[in-house]
Amino acid sequence: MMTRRQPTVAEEMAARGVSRRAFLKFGACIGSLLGLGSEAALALGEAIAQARRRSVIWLSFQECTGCTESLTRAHSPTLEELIFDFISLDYHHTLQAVSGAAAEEARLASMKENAGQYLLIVDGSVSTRDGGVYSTIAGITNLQMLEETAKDAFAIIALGSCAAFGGLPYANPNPTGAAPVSALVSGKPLVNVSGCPPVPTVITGVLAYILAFGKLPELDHLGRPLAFFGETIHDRCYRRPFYDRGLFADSFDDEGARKGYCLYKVGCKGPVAYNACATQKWNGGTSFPIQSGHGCFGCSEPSFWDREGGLYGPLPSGQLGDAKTALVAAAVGLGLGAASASLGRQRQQAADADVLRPRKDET
Amino acid sequence: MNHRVHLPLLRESEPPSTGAASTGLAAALLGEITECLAQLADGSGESSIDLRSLPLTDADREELSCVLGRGEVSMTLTLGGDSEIWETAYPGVWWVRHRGGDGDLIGDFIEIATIPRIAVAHRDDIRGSQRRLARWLDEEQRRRAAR
Repeated sequence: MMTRRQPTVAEEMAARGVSRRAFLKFGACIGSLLGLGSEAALALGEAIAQARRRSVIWLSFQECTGCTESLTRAHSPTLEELIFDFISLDYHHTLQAVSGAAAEEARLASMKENAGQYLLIVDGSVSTRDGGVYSTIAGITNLQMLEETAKDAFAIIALGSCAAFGGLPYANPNPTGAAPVSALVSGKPLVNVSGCPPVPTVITGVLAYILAFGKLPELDHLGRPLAFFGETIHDRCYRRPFYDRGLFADSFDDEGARKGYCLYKVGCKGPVAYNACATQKWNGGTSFPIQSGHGCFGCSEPSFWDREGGLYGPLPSGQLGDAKTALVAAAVGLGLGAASASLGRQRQQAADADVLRPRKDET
Repeated sequence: MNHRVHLPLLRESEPPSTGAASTGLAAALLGEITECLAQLADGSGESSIDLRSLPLTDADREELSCVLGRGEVSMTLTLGGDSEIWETAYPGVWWVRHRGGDGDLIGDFIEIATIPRIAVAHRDDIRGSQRRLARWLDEEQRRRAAR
């Protein structure tokens, strides 16, 4: 019996009246986000055009659906939405039409049919305390579902800070024994796309890279794609010149705040937060928290809820200096900023080593 | 008598005065574009410069735009948001600016090419066009025969 050849993504799109120029545009723009050269960007667009739709299974565990919202609520039609034309989304609680037993059958059927080839996306942390009973789907724990589904996955994307680092459920006292995916799965290519939620173009960029090249992009020491997490928010912040000149807002709505000065003293975590918000921005490139007058929470970093000083306390002096030290920044300019960020990085690396392992009392 | 033919579309703009916010990147880019043009002219290949990957200030961008100016050709690509493509006052140097569906800038490139790659019809699309048009003609013949 002859099996019908699965059409390429380009063939499917052509049948819907979409020309190959769409792939060139997609490749150019996503390649730009990923920092690829023009030839590699061209290759990315061409590779996606020639690929067959890859099956994607999306598991949502202890999460708030913000990660899905980030990707699907972008203004349409956008590059972010185009990615849905390049995959076969076989299982996703919020988006799928079927429910109950039929939904689980769809997941199991896709796992069987695409064994070793499907991409697994997980958003939300995984409950591990008391056998993981604090979060279940279809009668099995999230932990069981993850183990079952990860086994034959081609690669795993831990989407959002909950899946990547535990996120809010992991925050002290972590009643459910929440753990990140990386602490529970081994032997599979895994990329952490952190953020609460992650920037939609970052999600699209990572998905596009994997779909095009069949491998993960280059990662940082926390398993995040370097193209998007290689620089701090502080590094790319448009308010950085005020920091360098020692000009700060002391409280929200004071004169400094109204003049758009640096938000370090009102708790901005930009110097230790690695993410792409300052360049990619949100809501169709409109703005990002700092541009709206609020400091960065550092939501893409491990344990950001439990950070010393809280969400509104300034970074500890060892990381960025106290007010006096910060004023010295006016004299030494970028040098201190770079040195402080480097200090922050070292501290963060030490802290991060802990979060990637589940705590002893949680396993 | 000396008759000078004025070609307004190919005029070069006066370089803007360099303000404090100009970093000198525009001048460096123009040097690179000149080298790329030399390569294109001798058949060594086309080039593309991703402007979003560079820390250009508004003044740098303005300077680049003023020096390059606008040439004879401009196109709009309507595909998931409009893309504007125009040849600058220097034939072979194209500005390709992609926008998303909501109008936000998602790609900004200077391409040094005979024609930007995205403007050229892909061979697969040409084959598809041939099939679709042939099908239309067949159906039209049947419609006429049925009348």
